[in-house]
Amino acid sequence: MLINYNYSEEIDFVQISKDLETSNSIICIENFPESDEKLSNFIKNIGIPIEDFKNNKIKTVFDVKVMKQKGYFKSVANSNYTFPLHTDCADYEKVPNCIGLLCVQPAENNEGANTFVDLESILKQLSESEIELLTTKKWWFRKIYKPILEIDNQTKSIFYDRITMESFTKLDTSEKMILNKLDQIFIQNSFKINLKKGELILFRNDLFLHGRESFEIDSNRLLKRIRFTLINS
Amino acid sequence: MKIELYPDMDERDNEIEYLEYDIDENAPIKELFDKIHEEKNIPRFKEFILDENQIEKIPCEYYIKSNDKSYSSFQFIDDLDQKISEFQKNGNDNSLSLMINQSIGFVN
Repeated sequence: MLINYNYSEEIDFVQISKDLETSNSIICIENFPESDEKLSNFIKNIGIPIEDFKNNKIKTVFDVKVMKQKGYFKSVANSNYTFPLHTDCADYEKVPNCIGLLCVQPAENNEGANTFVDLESILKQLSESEIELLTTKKWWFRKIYKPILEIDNQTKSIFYDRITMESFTKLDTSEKMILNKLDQIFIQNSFKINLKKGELILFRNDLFLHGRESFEIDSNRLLKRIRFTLINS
Repeated sequence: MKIELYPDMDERDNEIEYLEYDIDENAPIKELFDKIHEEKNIPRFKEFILDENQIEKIPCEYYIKSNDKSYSSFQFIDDLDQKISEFQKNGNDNSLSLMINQSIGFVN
């Protein structure tokens, strides 16, 4: 499930791209430098980084850390809460198919672990009729209306972000029951990774759901996040 | 003073609203946003359902537009205690171009 690399100037970008394109694995690159610029330039070798108005000075990188303004968290990502398994940017018209997370400072006492579940494991737990429902029933992801699963002969994708789905749209009881069952399957099939300082993980945003466990509010936990679309996709 | 209130990033197809307030420009810009919230009935917080037992309130974000028409030209207002007079009036007819974000980027 984890493919390991060591950071160097001569790292094999072609192989990393292939790993992300073809396998259902998470890439882990050790000893990555703590630099927004280096992170952004590194990703440009394998994909097109997505700029966002909320990002750092280097517009492709976002600091995932506890951040408050006037006593309130600036976003759920900027809180210390458990973040349930989700797709990043599920509410965007074009969802980036990859995510990079660089650990600058892990949370203390093994808290704040990253959690993942892969689409293949999820599909194994679903009946044919459930898969049919999830590929046909559409849901509102803020302003985007689409199904949770997209499956054709060539590709499979999952889009899921319950916080967005439930916070911007009123769900009825039957819809909540569907999502409750899905959440249960996601949690039962999830695994966690305790990132170490200097580890960069790359994974498919359309083939994995990711989340995190809670951590102490005064933790210095800092991950640098970059979203990108693979060059060949 | 004249205000151009741009629609929320989620409602880009909506029209810009033109407002006018009698306000001391030495006041902090949060007082101007207070007036806008009250007059336009814009909620100050968005509630996010983290799970059935936990709802988290996250406040709106405030942006000022520089001098072009694209949304990328909006700058986040970090210090709401800054005086209104210190912000550039880049809108038509010497108006201040503002935007209240209550939709995008509050989850992840």
